[in-house]
Amino acid sequence: MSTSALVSNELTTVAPHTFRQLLAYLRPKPEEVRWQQIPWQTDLWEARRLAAQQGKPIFLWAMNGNPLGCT
Amino acid sequence: MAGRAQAFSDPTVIALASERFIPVAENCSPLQTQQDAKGEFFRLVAEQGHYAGRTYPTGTRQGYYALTAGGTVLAAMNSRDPQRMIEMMQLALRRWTELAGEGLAASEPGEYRPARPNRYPTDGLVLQLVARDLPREVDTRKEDWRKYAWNLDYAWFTRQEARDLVPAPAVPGAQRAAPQEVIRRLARFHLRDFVRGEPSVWPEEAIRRGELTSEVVARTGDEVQLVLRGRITLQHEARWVRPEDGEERRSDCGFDATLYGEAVWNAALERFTAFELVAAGPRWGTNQYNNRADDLGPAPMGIAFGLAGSEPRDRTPPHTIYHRDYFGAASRLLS
Repeated sequence: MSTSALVSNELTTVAPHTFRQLLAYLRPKPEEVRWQQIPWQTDLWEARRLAAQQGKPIFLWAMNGNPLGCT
Repeated sequence: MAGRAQAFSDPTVIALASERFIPVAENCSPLQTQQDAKGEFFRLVAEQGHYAGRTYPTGTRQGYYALTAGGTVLAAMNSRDPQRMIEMMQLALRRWTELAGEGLAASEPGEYRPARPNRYPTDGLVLQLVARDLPREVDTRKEDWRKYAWNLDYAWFTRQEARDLVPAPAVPGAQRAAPQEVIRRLARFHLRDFVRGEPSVWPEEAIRRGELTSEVVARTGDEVQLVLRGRITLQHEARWVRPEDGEERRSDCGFDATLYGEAVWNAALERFTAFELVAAGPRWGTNQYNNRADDLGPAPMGIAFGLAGSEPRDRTPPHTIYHRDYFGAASRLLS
């Protein structure tokens, strides 16, 4: 859906008739969530356990904020 | 946010991280001070990395680390450039091969007793949130990442709080006001302007209006179809001190959100099997960490709430989970 179409339909507040279009606009597009193809763990300790079990190194993405959530 | 869009959208990075490593993502802010084995382990790792010992301009240890299960760092950096990340991963794999030969790669971690309890509500309601700016009739934003920013978060509600969203008896036409605790959590912790970053929690007194009502619109056996309607208005003067110059900053902030949603409650399972809610309306102002200084508004913003999935990443905690008021009176008793 184009941005101009949204504006012309006054989809800047939510109502029953705009709800589905707003959801579609807000939800991430496939190209925006390619990073979710990586099977991220969210607990460094659990990653240690899996790494030892599977004989692999750990790749840690550490950020101020949740890298997979609000950051 | 930018890391997700840049390095971790690269197919080579995705393949290397997925196939050659155990990939893990975690908030390092608490880990830098957390007094338990995981905090100590993170600090052991970080002090072998790119920011080891650094205190200026900040003491942050954020970045990317390749390490063994025992805590030996193989490579580390803080760059989102995909090519640099590929090179860093390949370097780590070469060092891993050398270390594996020395028998250092497969150390088993000991038992972990977290300093902070995991409050993930296994039998409750776990929602994923997506926030974006909505289209504007007059758009003066620069043509850069800020114009296209979006962000994720999670919201956690207990089993009882989820149950209390459903009218009783659950028959068509029945209505119920959401519990004050649910409205409070939505308002203070989740109706924040987090499109571009990490805003502060709204203080209690910022809630100028808080209404959310559910109504049963249909019932087929145990499946109860609900519509949610509400209005939550927040307004507050944010104040903070800039670390760069020690100067106090102030901004009048607000979000006047209309809420509408549709959900399905399974009365036999006592859980939501579908849940979609949108909060939309004008937001204005800025605060210390949400990158809105150039876009004070008012301008429309939307936040979509939906059921979280079952992948490990869907257990990512809410951004504000460690705030003492997140779970209200219950969390204060436990803290």
